[in-house]
Amino acid sequence: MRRSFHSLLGIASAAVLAVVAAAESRVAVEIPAGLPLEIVATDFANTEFEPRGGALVIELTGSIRFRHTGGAAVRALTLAVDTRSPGLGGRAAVAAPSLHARKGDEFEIPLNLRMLRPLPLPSGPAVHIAPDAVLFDTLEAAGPDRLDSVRKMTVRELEARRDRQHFLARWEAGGRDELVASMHASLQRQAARPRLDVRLAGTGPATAGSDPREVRFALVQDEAAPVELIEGTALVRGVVSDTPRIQIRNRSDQPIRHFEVGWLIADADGAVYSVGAVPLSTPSRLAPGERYEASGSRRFALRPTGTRNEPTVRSMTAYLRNARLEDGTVWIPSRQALDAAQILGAVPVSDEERRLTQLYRERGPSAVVDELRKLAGQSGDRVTR
Amino acid sequence: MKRFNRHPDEFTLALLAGGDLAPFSRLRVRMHVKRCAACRKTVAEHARLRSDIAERSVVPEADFAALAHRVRVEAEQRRGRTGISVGWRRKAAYAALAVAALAVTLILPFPSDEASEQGSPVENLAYDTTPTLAQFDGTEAQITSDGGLSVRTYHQASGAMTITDYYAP
Repeated sequence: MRRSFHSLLGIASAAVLAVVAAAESRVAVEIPAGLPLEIVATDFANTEFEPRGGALVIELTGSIRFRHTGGAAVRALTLAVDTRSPGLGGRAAVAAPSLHARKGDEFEIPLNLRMLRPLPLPSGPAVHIAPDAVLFDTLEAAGPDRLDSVRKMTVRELEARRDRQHFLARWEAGGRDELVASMHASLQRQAARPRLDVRLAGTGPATAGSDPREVRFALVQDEAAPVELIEGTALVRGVVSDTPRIQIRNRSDQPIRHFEVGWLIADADGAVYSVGAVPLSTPSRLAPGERYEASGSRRFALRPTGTRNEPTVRSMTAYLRNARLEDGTVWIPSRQALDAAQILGAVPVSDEERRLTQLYRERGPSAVVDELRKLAGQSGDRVTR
Repeated sequence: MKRFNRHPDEFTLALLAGGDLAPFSRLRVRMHVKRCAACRKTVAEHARLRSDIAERSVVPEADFAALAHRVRVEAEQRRGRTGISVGWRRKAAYAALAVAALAVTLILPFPSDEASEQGSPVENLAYDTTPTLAQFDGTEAQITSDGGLSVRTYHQASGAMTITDYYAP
């Protein structure tokens, strides 16, 4: 009798393992040829697949553990997550900045996102995950880079170095007390910064049947920037912003390959919010001295987080967030320039600053100092790749 | 009895509207919905949404990306607090509990000192199958220069930061 119970127990245990394995098999992880990475382990047992109407909602929850097999240390990695569906929610990228993996080191990337694709599913895995690019501490990169990941990771890495240098300088100038004060100042800035709930506002006729008004961007000029912002406008109706347009000029001595314009809005109460980057068409190459009018067609509804009020966009501010020149040089604004323009409190805190302040909250100033020392000795905010 | 009167969460109501609840849960939730106007309204809204989506036969372009992360984070936090598990995890948990039930049947006639010291095998297994998920310390969505949305997440459990870009079609 007891033996039969044991048999049943074994069968039931196998059923449990089969259920977990089924979830795993719906997620495929691959490494493109030529990347110095190996997959050590994957865990997607908690990933859920929920059919809703004609769509499949995929709660992708899990992690991938990689081993670095190359020479230079890995500083950032971007994973392309693809459901093979061209619609919204069908494709995403998960970037992990501020890594420090030397040859032979293992590191884990947590994934936690929701994907959406129409039914029925094709045969094979529902989700394909593969590294899109790896950034090394030399600022060289490898990978297919289909999602423009190298540029984005380089910008984040330069922001990280800039902000690490800032905190390191504070620590060297005033020791532990100075570092603690700067950490507290950053935490206060993060807490005080108002946030927006940003939504795509559909694709219908632009501001049809409404009373849109043209709002002129206030432009932040940075003498050190390779791109000059000349003028810009956007149509605004209540909380909906539409059709931004910004005229720029390349004032550097070499062609510009890419640039991003930061976007801040102020409501009627004077609160300033960061919207992100103005979504604009950018030329593939902008010659020295050349002018260009960048424009966008997407519409966004902007609403302060945690309120149901209908705020009014009173004014808009634009600033150059980054630019990549033809020789690979990436430019980002300095903290001093942002501070001088009085927008340091409104622009998004960099990923690295946020990570360091979280480290401070959880493990104290000594852990931050150890981290700063570990990653110190790198170049400044203008680096040639 | 108190527990029976508790409102099902919105996720469960959505599953009911979509006909995706398991038979026993369906019966239990239906009994509640029958005499709860608020939950009846929620189920009707989800059913209407489901019908709209089916009629269009394509995934509607909506504010999905902006809301997705918030919904997920809220769900994660809810799970972290209550241990609610759904989908594959729920199936795994049910299967594990079935194993536990078998184990109880097996062990009860032959109680051991070890079992009595460590508590009920059911409790132990139920605890083991409760997911331990990363808790998040807030997220923030920003528009990207190509018109998509970028969401930053700090994973408290691992100390890692990730930036998820959702691409607009």
